[in-house]
Amino acid sequence: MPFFTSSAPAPAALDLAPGAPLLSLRDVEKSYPVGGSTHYVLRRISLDVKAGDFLTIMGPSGAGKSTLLAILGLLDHDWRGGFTFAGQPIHALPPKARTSFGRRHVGFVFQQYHLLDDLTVAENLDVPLEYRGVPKSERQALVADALDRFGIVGKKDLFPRQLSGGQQQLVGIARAVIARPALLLADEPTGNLHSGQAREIMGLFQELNRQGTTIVQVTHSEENARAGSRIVTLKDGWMTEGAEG
Amino acid sequence: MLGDLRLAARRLLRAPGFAAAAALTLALGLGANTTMFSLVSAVFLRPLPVQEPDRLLRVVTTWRDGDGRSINSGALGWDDVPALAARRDVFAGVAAFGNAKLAMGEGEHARTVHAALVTGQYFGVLGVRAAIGRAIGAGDVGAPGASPVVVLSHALWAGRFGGDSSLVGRAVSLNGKPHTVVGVAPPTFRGTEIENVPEVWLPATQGGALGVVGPRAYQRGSRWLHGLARLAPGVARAEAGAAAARLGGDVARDYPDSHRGWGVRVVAGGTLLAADPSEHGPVFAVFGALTALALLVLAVTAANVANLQLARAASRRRELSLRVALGAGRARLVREVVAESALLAGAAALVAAVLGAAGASLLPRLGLPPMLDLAPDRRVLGATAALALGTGLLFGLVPALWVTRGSLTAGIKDGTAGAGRSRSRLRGALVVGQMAVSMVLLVSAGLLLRTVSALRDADVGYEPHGVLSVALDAGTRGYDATRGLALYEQLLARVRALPNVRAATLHAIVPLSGNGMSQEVRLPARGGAVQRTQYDVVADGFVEALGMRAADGRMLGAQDRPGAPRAVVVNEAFARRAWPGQRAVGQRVRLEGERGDEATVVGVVRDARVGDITGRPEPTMLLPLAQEWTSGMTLEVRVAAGAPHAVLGAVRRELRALDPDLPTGEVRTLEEVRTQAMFPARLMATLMTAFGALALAVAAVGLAGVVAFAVAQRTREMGVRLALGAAGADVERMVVGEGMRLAVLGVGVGLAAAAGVARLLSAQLYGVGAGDPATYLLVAAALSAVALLAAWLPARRASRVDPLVALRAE
Repeated sequence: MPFFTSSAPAPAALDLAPGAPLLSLRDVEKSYPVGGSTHYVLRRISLDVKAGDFLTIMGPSGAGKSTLLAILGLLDHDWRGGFTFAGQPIHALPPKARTSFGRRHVGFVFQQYHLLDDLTVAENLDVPLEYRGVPKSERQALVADALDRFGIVGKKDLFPRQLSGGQQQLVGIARAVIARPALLLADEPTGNLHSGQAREIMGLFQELNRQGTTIVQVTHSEENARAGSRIVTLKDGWMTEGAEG
Repeated sequence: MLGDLRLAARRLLRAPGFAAAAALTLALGLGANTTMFSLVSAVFLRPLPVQEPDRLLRVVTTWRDGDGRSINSGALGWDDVPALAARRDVFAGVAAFGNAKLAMGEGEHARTVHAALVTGQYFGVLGVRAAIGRAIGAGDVGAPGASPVVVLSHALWAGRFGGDSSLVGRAVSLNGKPHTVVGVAPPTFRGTEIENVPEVWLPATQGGALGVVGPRAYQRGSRWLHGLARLAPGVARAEAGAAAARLGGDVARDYPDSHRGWGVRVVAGGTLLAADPSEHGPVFAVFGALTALALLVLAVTAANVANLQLARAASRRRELSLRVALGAGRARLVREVVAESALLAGAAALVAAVLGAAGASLLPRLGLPPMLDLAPDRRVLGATAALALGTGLLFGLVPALWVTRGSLTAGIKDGTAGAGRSRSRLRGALVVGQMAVSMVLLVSAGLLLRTVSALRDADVGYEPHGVLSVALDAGTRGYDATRGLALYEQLLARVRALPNVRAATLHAIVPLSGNGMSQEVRLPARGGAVQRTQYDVVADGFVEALGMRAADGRMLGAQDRPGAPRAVVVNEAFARRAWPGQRAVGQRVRLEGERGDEATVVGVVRDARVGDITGRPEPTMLLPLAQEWTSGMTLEVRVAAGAPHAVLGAVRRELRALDPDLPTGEVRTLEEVRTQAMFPARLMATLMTAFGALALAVAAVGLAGVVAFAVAQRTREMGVRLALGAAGADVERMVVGEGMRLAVLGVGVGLAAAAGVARLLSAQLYGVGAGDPATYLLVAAALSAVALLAAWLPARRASRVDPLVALRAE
């Protein structure tokens, strides 16, 4: 596929010691008060994700998969425990700094694609670059490059509603990786696609992973899980290493 | 339909926030219109408390001046009334009345009352019966001075005489002469005029004996009576009008000396003012503009309600889809939405009636005549209800049609708005419209406020500051020319000697008071050419006391005595028109057409605005009091320092020393008169500012609502953007930018529309152009600032969206 040979932008610089995990969670817990008691969503999660891993999180609905993904993506700050991202102790950062850190280093792929309806494909790809303050001339080059890499040059002026689901998710992935995040998080990325499209998307993830992108995905699909290199399972907030069941 | 309304009521009760916001917003716009309706109704529509008011006419005379221009004079002469009454085929009766001020009581208890001097058919034509005793009838109007009887107004009888029924048959003193009270008018009847509301009615033939009209008042060619007529049974107004016009032509032909250029018209007489633009052009222009702009305020508020409806419809789309799935047709859905609008409009109308009445009760503070009954009547409430219903249906139907168009079945799956894009366009368009209308109203208000400011600073050709005006009438105490002149000369001498008095004079016409006298003069140097001119009768010291400026020759003084060669001073407008390119001083004019004396122009004064504060100065002639005895005068006292009213006590003492029974009439300062002359401009400026501020507030709320709704609808998008790396400020900027795009578009459209409306307003403007850039820029800046604030508040919320919403929806 053409995107292997791309000249994607350099990822934001991370000071990662040799052999150290990219992500390291220690006894992370998240809970809500319910009535007089406490409802735990995540219990004592300890997890290391190395740079270049393709981790799949599985588990039944309500197991806490998406919550864990949100914590890894630095979107959720309401938890306890230790979390180190590329050597940076996230637990010690104030929420604002966490958000800012996550903005620079994490890319998201969503189940419902979440392309911005009023923007064309090319404009959707431009959004993360603009938010990261990339100069306009550079952005144009990067968008053109991404369109080329993902084979969607012919669709650059189309609006999301003019694309099929698979095409929309392709754009969603291109948008997630265009700023070369250190970590790509995907929440049920093929949940709305038929099996053929799902396989293509997973192939794309594998190629990105081979190229060096660290990926964490949440899925119910065992087939998708097999595309990754490692599986963790969540049940009632507790994590076990290995495939579900 | 009743079922629809019941369901609609239930739905609205479940959304009390929406219902209250929509009804109150609409009520604000309707309330502004209720206030305007109250004003329009009080002036033009509320029937006078007379018999069959729709069969009552006012008889108005017109004149063609020397230049062929038609002038509405309004006044009839003594002989004109029987000439009109003779047309029994069209008029069941014709009556007339003249206004006067009389001194009621003696000595310290004397006070001035407004009087109507009426012909014998006055009460009969109006169909008004006395509440106590009898009214004045034909038998009372005989030989001049023969029937000293009077009818009191109910308010005067109840106030001054404590409602004493035994007063009928007793005498009261009017201008020092006993008059027998024969009756008391009913409490509802206060005459037929907006101003000069009578407190007493007397036979017109008493005017001479009371000294309030001159000896020529009962001769042909006099013009001091206001005509009223009642249509004969079965006769239409047009027929009566044609007959009156023919009669006018005949009289003008038969009596060229006194009636050349004369014409007669009839207009509806059942209200305070006839709803006839040709009769009351300036009032129509002001009221028309205000009513139109009040309707614009309503449009702004109705647009808000439509926006609220659209927002609500979006959240109801799943429910509407479900109804379609259950078999509801589009018409049925539209009916349901419209039923809600009708209920909201009904609630809004009720609140508007209260708000409108409150607004109307504030109007008299702007200087409206107290005669106006501004309480909303059933006509006003009916108009409010009709407007509410119309607005509710129109602004309910549009969203209803919009919401139910396209496929509704898609909505049942995900509850999203299938027609969301076009709906948001409609909502955007409504906000643009609101902003544009606000711009129009605020620019209009700005131009009118600048007009008021310019009028305040305008050079009117005299100096009104520091002058006390005291109305006097020596005629009310029976003074003839010789004794009256002596009284006035002594009074002037005494007043001028008072401390803090810099100058004093007497004259007949207070500038900008709305009063005026005109006559035709002949110009011998131009072959007897006729010129119509305003005129004033003045004592010496006139120029100093009023702060006028002499332009040429000498001013009138002590040498212009009775018997001396007649002298006049003219203004520059008179001189320019009469003797273009020539010096006016030394020219001759023949006064009062062909019958009067010739007078020499001895001086020229600079033009002053006497009749109309914004109009061009009219040709005006000043006649010396000593040579043109006039009993009704105004004493003008210019003080050296401080408030003019401070010398009033001393002036009264001097007056009492000369004649303890001579009452003073109206007391005011020239500044107050001038301020009153700015009334139409102030009324418009004040109401327009109120309307503009209201529209702006509503539009700002509308904009904030649209932006907030967009933010709410796009919460997930905001979350996605934040998840994609946007900072809070990025989202805030984007949301504010979208709001401001609408605002700027609205301001742009509003600028163009305001320029058009301002041109229509230009007749009401003074000292500021319809395209005044400063006003437009200021309003555009103010509107943009308000819009920025309105967009920023919801934008802040958008920037605080939790990016987790992007994941939660998975």
